[in-house]
Amino acid sequence: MAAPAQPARVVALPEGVPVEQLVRRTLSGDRSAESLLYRRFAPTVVTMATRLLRSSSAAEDVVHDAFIIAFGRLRQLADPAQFRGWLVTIVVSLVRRRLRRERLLRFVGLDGEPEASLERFARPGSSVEARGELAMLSDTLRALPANLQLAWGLRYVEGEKLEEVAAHLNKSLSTTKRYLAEAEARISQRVSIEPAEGQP
Amino acid sequence: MSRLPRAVKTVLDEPDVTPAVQRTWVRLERTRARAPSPGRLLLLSSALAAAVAGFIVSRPVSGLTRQSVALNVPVPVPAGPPPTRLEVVTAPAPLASAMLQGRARRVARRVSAETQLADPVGHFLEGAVEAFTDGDAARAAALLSRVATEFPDDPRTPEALVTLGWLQLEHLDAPQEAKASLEKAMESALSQELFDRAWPLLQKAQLRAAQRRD
Repeated sequence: MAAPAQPARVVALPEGVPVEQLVRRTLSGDRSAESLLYRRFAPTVVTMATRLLRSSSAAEDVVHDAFIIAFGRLRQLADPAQFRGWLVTIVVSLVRRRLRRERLLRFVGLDGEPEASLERFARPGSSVEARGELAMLSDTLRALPANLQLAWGLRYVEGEKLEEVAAHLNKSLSTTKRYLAEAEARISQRVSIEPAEGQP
Repeated sequence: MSRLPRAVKTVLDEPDVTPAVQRTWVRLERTRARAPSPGRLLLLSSALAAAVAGFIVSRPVSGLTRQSVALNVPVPVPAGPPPTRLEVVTAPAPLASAMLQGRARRVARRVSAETQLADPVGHFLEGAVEAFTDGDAARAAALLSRVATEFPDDPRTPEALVTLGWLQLEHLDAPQEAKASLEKAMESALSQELFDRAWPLLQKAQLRAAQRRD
């Protein structure tokens, strides 16, 4: 009788190995380096995708597909030190596809993936008002086009720099600023939020 | 009144993603284990090329004794039922159903152009969904437009028209065209559910078209 298949495991390797080295070792076929690469970056992108999509199951699908693409195209990564940014860009493009699809599904009367509210991720002890504003923010974001949702979410929910947001969206800096301004205009109509820098 | 901080992340808890990370790793390993290796792909494509050309090696080559195999001897095709071909049964279905079936159809699309021709409306609807998902609203609208003009009697056409109106209004900044599409949709016998979706859109399109004229 054949032995039962062992469940796949993320191999533990010493932390602190530079990402460039992990990428090079992965490219040379070192599976333990690959699993460490996954272990190092998966939590970040799972968290990010979960908050951007407001759905854990959809986020898992996206992260799965993103790593399939990333490991399959690793040779195309010009600078191994930029692995994180490159991976996030792949994740963002998959999230965008999903958001667009969800938007169309909702329009034609299908609910699509069940979504949670950002309120679900509120810190324990958050005030009722803060939770209410988070719920309102979630609803407002959901109604925005995918690019606007992503630009605002990456900038203010994930705390990415403006230049990084533009790079992840694969848009120019001016287009990204326009997306942020459009999203801001709609969000501030419904949600009580601190004004952006330079605004009253 | 308390305001949400601009850096929203500061009021959010870091979710425990460890189970999700582990589950995804297991899925990743399984997916990659199923994916054919380049060697297997090469073998498969060679076999396919041989089959297409009508030549096939029927004698097994065993062990270390390499025998000369006549590759150019055509193998007679045995009489009997035709080889199984992947058929796509495309019963008329609304756009929503076409979207849900999109994944299965994408797999099938590689197989035969004939199957696409069996249900051109379904094919256009799927194409529209794909195009929109890829960020190409203009192409999605063009495909829905073809459904409306080439297949006016198809039961899916009213829904295609309402969706076209929505695309033109919300994604292509073309209220006049949206108004025309939605009015055309209204002329057909819309279901109550479709009417409820189309009516507010038409009002919005009329308003924006009027503002545009002014």
